[in-house]
Amino acid sequence: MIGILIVTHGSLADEIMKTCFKIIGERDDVGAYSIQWDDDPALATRRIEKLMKKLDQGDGVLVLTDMFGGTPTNIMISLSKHFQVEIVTGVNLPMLIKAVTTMNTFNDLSEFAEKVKQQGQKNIYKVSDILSMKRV
Amino acid sequence: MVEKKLKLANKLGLHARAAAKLVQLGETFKSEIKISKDNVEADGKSILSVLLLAAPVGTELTFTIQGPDEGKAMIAIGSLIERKFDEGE
Repeated sequence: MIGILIVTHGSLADEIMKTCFKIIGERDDVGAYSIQWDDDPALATRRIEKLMKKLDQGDGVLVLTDMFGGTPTNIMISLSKHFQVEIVTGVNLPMLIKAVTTMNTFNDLSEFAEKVKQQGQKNIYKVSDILSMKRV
Repeated sequence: MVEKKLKLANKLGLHARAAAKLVQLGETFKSEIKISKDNVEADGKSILSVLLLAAPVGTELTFTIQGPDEGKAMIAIGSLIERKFDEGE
């Protein structure tokens, strides 16, 4: 079983997880850590490490972060030496819903991460394109 | 194969939570479930695909179900839509 951890700036991680659970129902093996603006990065790293230990049940953890280059992603890169982890940046709601609803069907973490990245990208639309497609 | 047109009667139409309920119900059946509206067809077992239908209240959706439990699946889906997704309006 692959675990999922969302790590972001501000309160985004907790809120996006709550929103996802509101839509599809609560799930186990999914965690969130929001790094608040005045949090000490060293303390955040230790707490995330604890969460990672809980979420890693042998098949690794898919980590979804907000933005490449930001502290949440950088902390996860530093922790990636100690865990079996794949990090996908730019977390969005469709990406998270796809990840949480398909996590049971993957054994290979790298393959799962690739699929989740693709779904996150694919599910961004310019709404007028969709509406004009429907009118055809 | 069974095909049926069903009209959405709940206030919000096929919004995120309703789509999730529909998909979760669909996943309990072996049959393949296709939902179509206008010229867009969605996979009835994928929430992101179902949401793309953008179906508000009053929309008529065509359900095409094929597989060993197609009849049961159609009855269950018809009932969920009739019950307005149990949204307690």
